[in-house]
Amino acid sequence: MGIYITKRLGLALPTILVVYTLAFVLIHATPGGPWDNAEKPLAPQVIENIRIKYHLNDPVWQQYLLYLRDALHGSLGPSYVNTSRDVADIIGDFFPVSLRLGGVAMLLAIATGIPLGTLAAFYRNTPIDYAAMGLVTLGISIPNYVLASILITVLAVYLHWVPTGGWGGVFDVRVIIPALAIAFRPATTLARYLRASMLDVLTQDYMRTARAKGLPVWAVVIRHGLRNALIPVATVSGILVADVITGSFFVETVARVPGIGRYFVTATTGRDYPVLLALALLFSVIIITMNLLVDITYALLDPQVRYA
Amino acid sequence: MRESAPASPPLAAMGAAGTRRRRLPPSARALRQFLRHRMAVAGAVCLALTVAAAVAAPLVSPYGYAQQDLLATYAPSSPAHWLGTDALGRDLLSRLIYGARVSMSVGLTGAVLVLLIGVPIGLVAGYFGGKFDLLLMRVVDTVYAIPYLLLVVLLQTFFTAFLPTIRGGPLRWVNVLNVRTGGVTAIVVALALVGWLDVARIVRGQTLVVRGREFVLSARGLGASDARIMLMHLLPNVAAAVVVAATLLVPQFVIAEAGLSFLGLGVQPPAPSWGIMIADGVDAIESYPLLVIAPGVALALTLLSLNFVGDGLRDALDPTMRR
Repeated sequence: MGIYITKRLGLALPTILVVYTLAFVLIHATPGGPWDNAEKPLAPQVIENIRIKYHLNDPVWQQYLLYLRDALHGSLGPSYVNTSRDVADIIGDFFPVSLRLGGVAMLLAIATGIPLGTLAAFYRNTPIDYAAMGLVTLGISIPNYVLASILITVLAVYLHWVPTGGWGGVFDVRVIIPALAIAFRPATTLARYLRASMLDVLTQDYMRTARAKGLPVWAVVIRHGLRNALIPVATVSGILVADVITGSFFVETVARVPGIGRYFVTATTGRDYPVLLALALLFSVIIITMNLLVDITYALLDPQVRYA
Repeated sequence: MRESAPASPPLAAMGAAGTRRRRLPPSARALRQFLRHRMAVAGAVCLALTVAAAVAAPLVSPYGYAQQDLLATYAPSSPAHWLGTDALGRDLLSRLIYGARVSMSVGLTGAVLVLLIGVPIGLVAGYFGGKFDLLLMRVVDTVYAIPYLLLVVLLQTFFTAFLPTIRGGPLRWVNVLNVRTGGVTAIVVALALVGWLDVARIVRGQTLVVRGREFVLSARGLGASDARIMLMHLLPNVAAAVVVAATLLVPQFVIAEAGLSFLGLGVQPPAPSWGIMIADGVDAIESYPLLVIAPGVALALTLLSLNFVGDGLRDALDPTMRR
């Protein structure tokens, strides 16, 4: 087991390095920057000073190593736009909000996706299955920002149940709209994969044996079926996390949640490259860590995997 | 697939049922299978209408997409403006129709580009294997670790800034095209540069399966060159899976373009994109929800249609992949 984890870690670290290199190269290859303001051009001397201050005149490979060294020490450099602030501070301010919102959305997605997928598989080719699969198709087809706008219109504007936007923590009513909007797509993704895997499990011999022993149907489906069906589904957790992260870009913007997703969008339009680079790293590290955790849990649950 | 593949399930089923049906050519069989898929047909009709409206936009749309009527801002729907007007007094229906142009061209050119890059690379990787294949799979693994949209945003930011610096040389037309299309070219290139990996992966997988079949071995035994085997024997056999994959990538491109434009990173105003229209409408959603609902419904309907057509094509072309 120890060897397996070491091996997987050994694969994850180069991946992170490649992501960093890719993001670094792209960002440095992009001409121009936040100082290229066409309406109020800065004096050349000012720009020159800024470039010296941020080491932009050093050879690119030096900048690459310098940033990497600082990043490993936890310093992500100053923001180009909010010059008084460190990128690490900005992430510290905005990320917890997104983490909580994402957590609520993830829980919501799991809490609805699992029953939906199980029901669809159990009642295969009945109206229940068709309704569930219809929802899944909607999940692929309705962008989360459209869903968020519809929810705002219905829940906030017409019904006055919740405010149209803002953030007040996990237990505030304002979490409802963004959490629902972000959770919809991952919930349907989860349901689709679980249905397929559950259909496989339901035909297994041990299911029939459990039923023959006289266990009630739902006890069998949940205790024997769901447990086994969820193992292969665990591998899509990375996709679900990516869905939640990209969902936050849009939904936080629409529902005015002061999270890192909304900050990312502001940083792109403002061409705040240090922030973009740091966030690209952050998001990839989250997904890679998630995949790593999933693989390790998978190996713990299913010993055969380790030898594969 | 014609002579070599074993009888596909629909044929076997037909035989078992004992119906004396004439043997149809594969294309007609696929068409019949597709027509049986009601949602797919509805989707195809819906898409055909959207494409027709997009192509004929200057003829069918009542106003220009940037034409303002400043005396009638936020107008409700009326005989003059069927869906009303937006904050700048622009006709919503006309903008929807022109917006379809952006969505459809992004989806179609994106799919073509992705096929042009992905199919050869996937074929070569799957056929020869070895280091190139290993490299491709490492690239795929790495790119899948990055959120898709994040990578597209970085690439799109790069191309939007980079293309205008091409002032001369053989690639000048790319810049001209990008300016003329209001930034659509940069989006398509960014999307294709990420999307080809999906196609290459699928083509590689299919090639690995077909590569070991007897007809490939016999072709090689008869002295066919590698290029000939790939083009004449492997390509037709992976074509069905490729077409299905490409169709299912189109909605992904459409949604990404709308998303980027929604964030203000995609198509540059006043060029209309459904994403931009939704973003503009969000500001006034409390009072004029139609400004968000109309482009939102147009986008959702298009995506639904594309997904249904993709499902239908998969069922019709590739019986083994049926759900």
